[in-house]
Amino acid sequence: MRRRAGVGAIQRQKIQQDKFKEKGSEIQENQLEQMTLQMEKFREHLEDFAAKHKNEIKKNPQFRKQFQEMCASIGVDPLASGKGFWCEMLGVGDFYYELGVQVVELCVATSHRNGGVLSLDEVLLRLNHRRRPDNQISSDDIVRAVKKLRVLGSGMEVVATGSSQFIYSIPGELSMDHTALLQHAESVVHLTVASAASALGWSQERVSRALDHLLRVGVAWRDDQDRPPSFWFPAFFQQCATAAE
Amino acid sequence: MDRWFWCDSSLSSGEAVAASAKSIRLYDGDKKTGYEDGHLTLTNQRLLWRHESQSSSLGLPLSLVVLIEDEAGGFTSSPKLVLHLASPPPGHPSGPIASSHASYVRLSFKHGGCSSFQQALQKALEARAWETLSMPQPANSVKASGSKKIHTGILGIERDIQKKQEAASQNISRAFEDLKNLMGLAKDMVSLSRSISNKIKEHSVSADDTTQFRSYLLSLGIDDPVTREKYGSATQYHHHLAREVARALEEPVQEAGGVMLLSEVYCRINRARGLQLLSPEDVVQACNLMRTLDLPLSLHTFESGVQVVQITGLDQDKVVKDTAQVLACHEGDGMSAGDLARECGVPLLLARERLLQAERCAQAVRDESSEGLRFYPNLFFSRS
Repeated sequence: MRRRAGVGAIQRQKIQQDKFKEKGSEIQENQLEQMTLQMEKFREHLEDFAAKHKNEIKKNPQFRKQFQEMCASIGVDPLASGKGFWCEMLGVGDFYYELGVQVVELCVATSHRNGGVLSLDEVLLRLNHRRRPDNQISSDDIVRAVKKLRVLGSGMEVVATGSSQFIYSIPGELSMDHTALLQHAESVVHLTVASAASALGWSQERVSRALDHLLRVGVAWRDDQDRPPSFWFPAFFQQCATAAE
Repeated sequence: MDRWFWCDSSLSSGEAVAASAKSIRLYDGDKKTGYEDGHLTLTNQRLLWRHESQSSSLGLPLSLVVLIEDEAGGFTSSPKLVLHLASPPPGHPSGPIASSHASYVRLSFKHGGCSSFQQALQKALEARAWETLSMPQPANSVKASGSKKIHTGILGIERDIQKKQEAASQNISRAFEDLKNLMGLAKDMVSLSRSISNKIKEHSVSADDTTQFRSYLLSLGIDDPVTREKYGSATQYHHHLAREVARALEEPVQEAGGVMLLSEVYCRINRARGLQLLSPEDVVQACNLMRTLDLPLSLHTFESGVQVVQITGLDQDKVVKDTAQVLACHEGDGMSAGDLARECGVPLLLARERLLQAERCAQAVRDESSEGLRFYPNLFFSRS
């Protein structure tokens, strides 16, 4: 007899499924109750912790970093939502989201000059300049804030080129070639097609293509008065870091 | 170390014991000496160190102590007191060591009692009982007291700084301890939420039943791909936010020409809020909901990934036509994104998108060169 034939079989199957669902939702209910209780307990602990150490988070970059790393290791993102416990009680959110706002505004204000590429050091300098001495931020803070901004779709991300890190606010891709060229440019500040080609071991055409794109997005500037033309990268100008604006 | 001298353990008249401690080791400057595990007695005139196997003690007149510092102990070292000493006066009785180049000695408190001894020592130094007795070399005492006064003042300040640093470092270690405990609790929550999520995966559950669970996930900041895929991560909170953002930014978006970059929306809403800021994810979630909630603003994503918030029902064709018109005025040179941005007062990213959109609708053509990317009106269509 075929087990699946007949209305009876179908009905029996449905009854079984419903029973499982009930059982399943029963188990769920218990676990959900358990979770509710644990959430309450956790909330109390967090309030306690906040009362004692909220200031530490605001003032101590090392502590902040440790806090973030521990959260990441257990699979929790304290910055996921402003509505989260971490933000509401510890105020971590306000710290990093405000930092995010400042970074976005800084990028917008300077993109006409550097095409949307800023060195992390420059950002750190400028933002710390505005803050009280006991309220300074670290580069780890900035990196975390920018990581969160990625989701806004304006292409904000932190890219490591060579020894330092840069904040890009250019949507649309900078390929491996572009990044490698930028990395080389960082060490020489200005270059010609020929010098870059020999340093990187690329064909001159490959260098030209990459340079063209960087010119187009405004990250590279060309000096035509030089023979052969030389290319400069405002993002790496030392003076930018100290220019008061 | 050469200031210590052999003496009798008995107390002279007018001398009284103020404090004592056990298991003390003497250090000559930074070097350990063989004088360890001794009994240290503080009187109002001197320090006496004695090992129980000996009858005589090593004495140190308190008048020679210029400055006291304490060193906190660590895992391998015990807490210590550092006594900076003045040079011994002529006629000073001889001790175990004829001369040492260090002008300070250290007392190591193996079994604790360092801080209470330090307090007692401080008191004894302040009381200066040896000055009331007729002691030879009054000139020396005056000199010692003169310099001591200055040091006491600095000493007080240095103490304060040290105390503050100690308190701060104690606080930090407590903070890290508390942090570890907190994370332990949070870890339990994460594993509990994982098992609940697995149950949800196995048995189909309606969206309503999961609302409470999803709000817990939001509170803890746990990203659960299963619930996210099935039910989305938007909660009541995000619905509320969507309305708030639409209300707050409808006018500014209108003023900006009907379109605003999402990153600018993020900045503006947070600047307006001042406190309890929104995360970038909150803003994206909220804006995603706008269309379903029939709000005057809605989210739009360009092909390049750029996201904007625009007036619902913004006529894309109209925008393209406007762009084409602006281009037509610059037939000769064409326009770059920067030119359009300046001309129309829109952000650079937005100008770029408008030109790209016009190109897609065949209203503009591009010219890519090393001069940059420029756009021209599409004369192939209009003039052919």
